[in-house]
Amino acid sequence: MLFFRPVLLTLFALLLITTNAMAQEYFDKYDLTPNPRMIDIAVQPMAYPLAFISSIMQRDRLLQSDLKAMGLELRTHSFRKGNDIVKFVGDGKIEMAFLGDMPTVNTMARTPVDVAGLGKRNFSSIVSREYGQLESLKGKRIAYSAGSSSHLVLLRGLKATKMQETDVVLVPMEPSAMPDALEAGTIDAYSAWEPTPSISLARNPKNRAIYRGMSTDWVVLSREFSQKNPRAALALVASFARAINWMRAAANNVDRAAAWVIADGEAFTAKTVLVTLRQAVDIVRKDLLEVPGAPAVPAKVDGLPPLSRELEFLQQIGRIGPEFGIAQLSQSLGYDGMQKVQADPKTFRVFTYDYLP
Amino acid sequence: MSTRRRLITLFALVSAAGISAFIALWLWGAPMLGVEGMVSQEYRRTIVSVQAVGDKERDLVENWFDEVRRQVQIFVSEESLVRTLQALNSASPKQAFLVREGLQRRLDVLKEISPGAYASLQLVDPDGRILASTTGVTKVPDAYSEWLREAAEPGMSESIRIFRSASGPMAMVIRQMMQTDAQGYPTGVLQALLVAEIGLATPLEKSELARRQALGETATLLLVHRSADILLKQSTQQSDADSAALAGSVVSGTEGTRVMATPGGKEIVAVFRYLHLGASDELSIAVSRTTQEAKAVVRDGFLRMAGLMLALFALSLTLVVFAANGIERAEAQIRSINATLEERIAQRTVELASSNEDLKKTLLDLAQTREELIRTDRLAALGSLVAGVAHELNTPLGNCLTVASTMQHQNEMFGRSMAEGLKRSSLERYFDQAREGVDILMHSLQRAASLVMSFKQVAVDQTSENRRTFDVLDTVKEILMTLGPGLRKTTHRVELDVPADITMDSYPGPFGQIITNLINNALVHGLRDETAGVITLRVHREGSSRVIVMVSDSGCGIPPQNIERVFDPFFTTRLGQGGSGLGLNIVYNLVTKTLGGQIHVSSPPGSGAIFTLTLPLVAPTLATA
Repeated sequence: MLFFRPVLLTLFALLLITTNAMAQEYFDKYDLTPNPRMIDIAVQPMAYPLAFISSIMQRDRLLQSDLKAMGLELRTHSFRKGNDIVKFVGDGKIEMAFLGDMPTVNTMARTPVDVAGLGKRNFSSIVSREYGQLESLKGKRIAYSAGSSSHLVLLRGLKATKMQETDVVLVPMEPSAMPDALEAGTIDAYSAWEPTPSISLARNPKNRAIYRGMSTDWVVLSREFSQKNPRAALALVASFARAINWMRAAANNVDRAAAWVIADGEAFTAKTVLVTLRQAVDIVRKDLLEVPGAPAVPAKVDGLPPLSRELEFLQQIGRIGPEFGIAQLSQSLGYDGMQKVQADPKTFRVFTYDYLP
Repeated sequence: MSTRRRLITLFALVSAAGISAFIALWLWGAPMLGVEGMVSQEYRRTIVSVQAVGDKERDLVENWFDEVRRQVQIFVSEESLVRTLQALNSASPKQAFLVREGLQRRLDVLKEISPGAYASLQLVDPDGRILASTTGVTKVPDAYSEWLREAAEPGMSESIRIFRSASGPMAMVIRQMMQTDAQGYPTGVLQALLVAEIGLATPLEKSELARRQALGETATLLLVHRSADILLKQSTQQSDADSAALAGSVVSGTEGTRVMATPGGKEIVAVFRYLHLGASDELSIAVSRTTQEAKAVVRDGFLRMAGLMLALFALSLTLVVFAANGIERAEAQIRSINATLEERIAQRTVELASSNEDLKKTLLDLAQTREELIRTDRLAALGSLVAGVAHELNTPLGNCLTVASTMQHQNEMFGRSMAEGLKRSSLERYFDQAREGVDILMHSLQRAASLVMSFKQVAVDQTSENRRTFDVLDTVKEILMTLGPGLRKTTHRVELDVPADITMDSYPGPFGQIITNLINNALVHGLRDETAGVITLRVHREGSSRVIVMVSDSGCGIPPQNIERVFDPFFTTRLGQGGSGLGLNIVYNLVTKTLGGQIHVSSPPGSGAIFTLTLPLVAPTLATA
């Protein structure tokens, strides 16, 4: 019997590996077959405030009419995280994507894209309960999402306190699972982007954001798409700018958009979204609407050209090779679609609003 | 080392260890077990208070800045202002002057609405020319020209820059003012830029007093630029070197709490908060205080605790010394007692030996007394027998004497008759009388002889332990005969139920003494208060080898508390009234030892005592026989 046990265990492990390898991803069922009449948009319903822009754009009748006039139709696909989208943009199956900073750089390194505009500028946070200082996290379990902006913030935090990754126990985890894990005590802290920190801070007054680092989200266009179909690309960018102008125009509009975002999130996850409407409104105000100049691409973030720190980080951890550099990054950021739209607000109707109820 | 000294030393050592452990635990806790000590608590309290003030100051600045920003936004959104600016394009120089004066007044009003908020307000055209200003400058400083150029880019509706001016930290808010068409719809053409220089020190100056009240005099607030430049410092005690070190540890764009040592040798708790001024990433706020207050609290607490411990130690030491003295006294007493103990034991041993000898002598005396009493009892029984014999012989012998004296008288009478002349009638009368007298004499003498024979047999049996075969009924009757005179003096009677065919090969003397003692016991004790009591003697065979003899009376019986003791030697209820307490003991010994049987006594409620003897028909051979 003792002889057979290792054999059985090995077979069981192989079975698990095979099962995992064969397991279907949630996005495998999406119809992403390239279609010249379809514009496929990849959105993240659980990433705030990016989800505000995508939820509003999905209900933008002006966009729909503009695209219809061009013989096009909008098709939206929901993803749990930006890194799930990268491959599809690279494969030319997604024309417009809403991405965090790391997936944006990853996408740029994989395929030429144009940055339509800034979708968020806020912080990724290290949230802890028992430990008020970063130094106290030495040897503790910290959940993170590998290769994400929260990973970068975690490394920056550790570096600021003269620690390295090996000084803590890194626990890979989906951001949506982090608040529960922190409450259950299975982790001592986590590093994540919004709204995850807001959920934990609202849930338990003992939770604290003990370290924050700048984090950005972006709206990108497949360069192939923007070059082949520049009018449609500008229509999308105009809808993006329109969405932000609409929210800035009246407080009620923000509330209405927040309700759409929560509904879209619950439809996607089939679960109750933990963020309240008021929390969602606060996030979009602070992280997008009150960001000066947003959605225009800023000249600098954190004192450096946008996304340059993220590129350096991804190169350091080997996710991106040296062939992709600042020059390519600047080229992607140099897309002038947003400037064209803002310079001609009447043509692109960025101050005219017509949304589905 | 004496016990007293050992005890005090041990107490001192244990107390010192205990007090040290207690104070250590109280000060630092047991972190492995999640127990906090005073030091941790005070540090945590300090950290929490600094964090709270840091959050409050950040919120204060951010809210205040948002308010000012909103004023600027509202200002640039005024349609009349936009129209005025548009009118400026086509105005004559004179009209333009007036328009600019109007714009100037508008800016002045905005500045006055929020005293201290705006260092300056300027309206600048897309080419960088100042249209109106609250400071009277006519040219944009070169340092700002680059910012204005970037702020004029399409889509940059608002830009924010942080910088330090001579009057303190500033946030420059630049808002685009777009041309509108006749319907008020933005045309996308930049009309002008509103440049507002906002003094960031204003809200912090108002909160400085409250901050010091919350954190003490070592409270320090720094506004730190991303470049680690200190844009604002509010502190009364922190040296510039310490402030520089604090600013240098601020990681731009991050938040956190640190406990750090400054170059000046002080330990401080510092909280860094990012100022979310329109998502600008250029400015952080750092609030700190030294830990000396926390240490002072810990020190004061330590002194109080140490004082209390010392007092408790002194009190405990006094009690221990008192107890140790008592123990020492007790020890001395024990030592003294131990020293005389052997002597006392020897003395007691002699006394016990003497007592033992006395007891042995007493025991011997008792044995002798018992033998004497047994002998006395036997003699008493013999006396009784003799009295009975005398009484029984008295009657026939008296009859004989009477007859003999009568015959003596008749002989004298017959002699005189013969002297006077013998008559036939006299001779016949004399002859008849003589014959009658002789008959009487013969009968009486035979009776006497018979009695003597019986008495002789009983006497021989009772005074000896001769073994022989005897008839139980005959033996019983002979015994009763010897008891006859005593019995006849009473009103009681003896009933016999003895079969005629029981013969025993045993010791008739002891058997008779047993019956005699049991009957006497019934007369003396059981029927003491009776007037016509009955003593019943029943005998019957049990099997082929045993005979049961039961002697019962109709008397008062034996009390339960005495029934177990009736066979004990010297147990009597008639002490001082002639009772020796040996009668039933003798019976017990004769039954069990001489005759080889068993005896049992019972006294059912409402009836007299019943003595049941189980005797072998053939007695065992006596060892001494």
